[in-house]
Amino acid sequence: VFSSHSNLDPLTETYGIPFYLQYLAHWPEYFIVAEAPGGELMGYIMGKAEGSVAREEWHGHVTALSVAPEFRRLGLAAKLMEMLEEISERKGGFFVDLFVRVSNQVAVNMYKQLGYSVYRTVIEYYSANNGEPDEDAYDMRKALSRDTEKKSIIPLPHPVRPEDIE
Amino acid sequence: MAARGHVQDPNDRRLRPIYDYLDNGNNKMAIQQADKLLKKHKDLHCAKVLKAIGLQRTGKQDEAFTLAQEVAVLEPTDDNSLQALTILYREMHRPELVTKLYEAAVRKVPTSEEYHSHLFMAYARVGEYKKMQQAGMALYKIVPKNPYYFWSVMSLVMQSISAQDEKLSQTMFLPLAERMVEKMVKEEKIEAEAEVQLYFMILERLGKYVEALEVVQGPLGGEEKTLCSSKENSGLFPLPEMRSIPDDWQFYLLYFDSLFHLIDQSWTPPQEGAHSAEGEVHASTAQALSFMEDRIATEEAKESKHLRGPYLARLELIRRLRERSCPEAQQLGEPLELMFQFFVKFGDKPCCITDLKIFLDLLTPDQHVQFINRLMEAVPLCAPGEDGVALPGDTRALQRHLCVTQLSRSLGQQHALNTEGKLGLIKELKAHYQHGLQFGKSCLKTELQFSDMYCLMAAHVYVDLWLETGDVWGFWTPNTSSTTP
Repeated sequence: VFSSHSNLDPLTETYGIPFYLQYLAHWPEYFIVAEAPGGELMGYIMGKAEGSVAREEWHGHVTALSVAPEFRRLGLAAKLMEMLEEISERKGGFFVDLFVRVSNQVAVNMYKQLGYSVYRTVIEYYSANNGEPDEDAYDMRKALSRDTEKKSIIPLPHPVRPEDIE
Repeated sequence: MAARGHVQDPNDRRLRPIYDYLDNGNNKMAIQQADKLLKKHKDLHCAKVLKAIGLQRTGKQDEAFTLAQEVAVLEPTDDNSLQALTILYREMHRPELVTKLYEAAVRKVPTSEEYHSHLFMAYARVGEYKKMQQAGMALYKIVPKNPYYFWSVMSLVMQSISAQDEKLSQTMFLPLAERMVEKMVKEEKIEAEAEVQLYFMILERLGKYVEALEVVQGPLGGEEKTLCSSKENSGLFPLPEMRSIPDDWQFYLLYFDSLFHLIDQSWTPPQEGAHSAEGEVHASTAQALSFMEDRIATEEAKESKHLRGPYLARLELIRRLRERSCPEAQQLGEPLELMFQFFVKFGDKPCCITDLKIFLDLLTPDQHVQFINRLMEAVPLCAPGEDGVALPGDTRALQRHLCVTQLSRSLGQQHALNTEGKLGLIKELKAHYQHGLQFGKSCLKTELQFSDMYCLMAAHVYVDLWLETGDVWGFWTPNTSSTTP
């Protein structure tokens, strides 16, 4: 991810190598990379599956999604999301969710177009690195076929704090 | 995106501020806070380690190390200390110390899934494959989750790959790995695609191609099956798979690889029966040509949302046929014309540049100028202003113009200009950049502007000039109203 341009986008979080390796080790099927004919990295998606089946909270989670600027407007983000949703369906997930900065209007709108809705707001989820205030996140969800009554996406009436997330 | 922060949220409120200072790069305050804390609670190990991290980050390696060892020697088993020590050792590039850390933790808490997991990762960082194998199985015994079992299998494969003695690899490591996977298959415990891929890899390395093919064609094989089956020795690449997956470049490449492989082997399809388990197989140039024509026709018939793959694949086929001196290459068309048509269809998308770049070598040098001129004709520009620069009227036209300009640079046309020419080019690029900013007025501060690439290119031409003449030609004069990061 460090030699492509997708992580140079200021809205893409760059984590440490151990973070990426943990995902590769635990959830390799959710780690998908798109490569252009010339070998350039067009974009990638990382995810995982977690949550209690008994509480109907077993779900797919989008940890990171990024498309390099040169490869935008090709429907790639939608395609990567579709693949992640498909894998989550196969695993019997009830829904797919993700966190996105409240200020990232472009991303929020994109996810809405893909069928996601805001489930709850998480206060100060993103910590700023230089003395600026932390930023809130939207927890957006899309119900999968196992959630027949679409219970998982009924929005919460109040925001939560990061400590309250399961 | 998940929140950043490689350190888990500490339960202890007292440590929180120190973590914050470290995360913000304020090492001095972190050390100070840690000291304050240690005066009151001198056994708060984690605070010592966090202080050590602060020391390490301010260059006081030895002091940091000594302090850390004070804690390490006590063999801590609290999450905070373990994590903090791991971070410290990582930053000191001493990954082997992390293994010692978790070996001790695991001795004290043998039922901890988490410590065993960290131990496995610690071994992985230093490439201790045998220990990884053991750690994997130990994990599996604590919690029988498939990944742990297969981490063990994987470690065996790694031992086989890194073995000095090839015989050991073939007679011990791989067969053991094979038996381990077979056990899971028999007990119907296979869960993930990756597990099947690992199985396939093991069989391949053992040279058991027939068995490998059987695995992939049998009930375990999933969507990856065709990719795998065509890679191995027989090289047959059946057609039906191609049609089902839209626009996968890999498939085109494999198709061509397999096709030419079969042609070179003079393979002929059997008189009766299927070519292969999955369907028809192509093994002649004529079949490839007609397949290509079919794919293009399907795309052309669509009203919108054309896929780039077939058009690029056609160019790739031309390249391969030319490499093999096949006259049939000409039947597919003239590259210049085909690339022009591609530009007409996809020129307003940024990827057009990288797509076409790889096929520029299909043009002869004396076609370069003609090619660029042809492309430029297809760029809708407004009438030139008084500075003689014709500008685009909207973002699509801008992107097209940008594409042609970048391709021209790839072909070396910008480098070929003399000093005066280059200076003129810079002026033009700057004009395009400034003009293009109007389209991006609604762009957020964090987004790229549509015309940013012009600015970058102008900078590159300045560098070209400097390399040639040693002069900086006003490079450092700031551009006005530039918000480019």
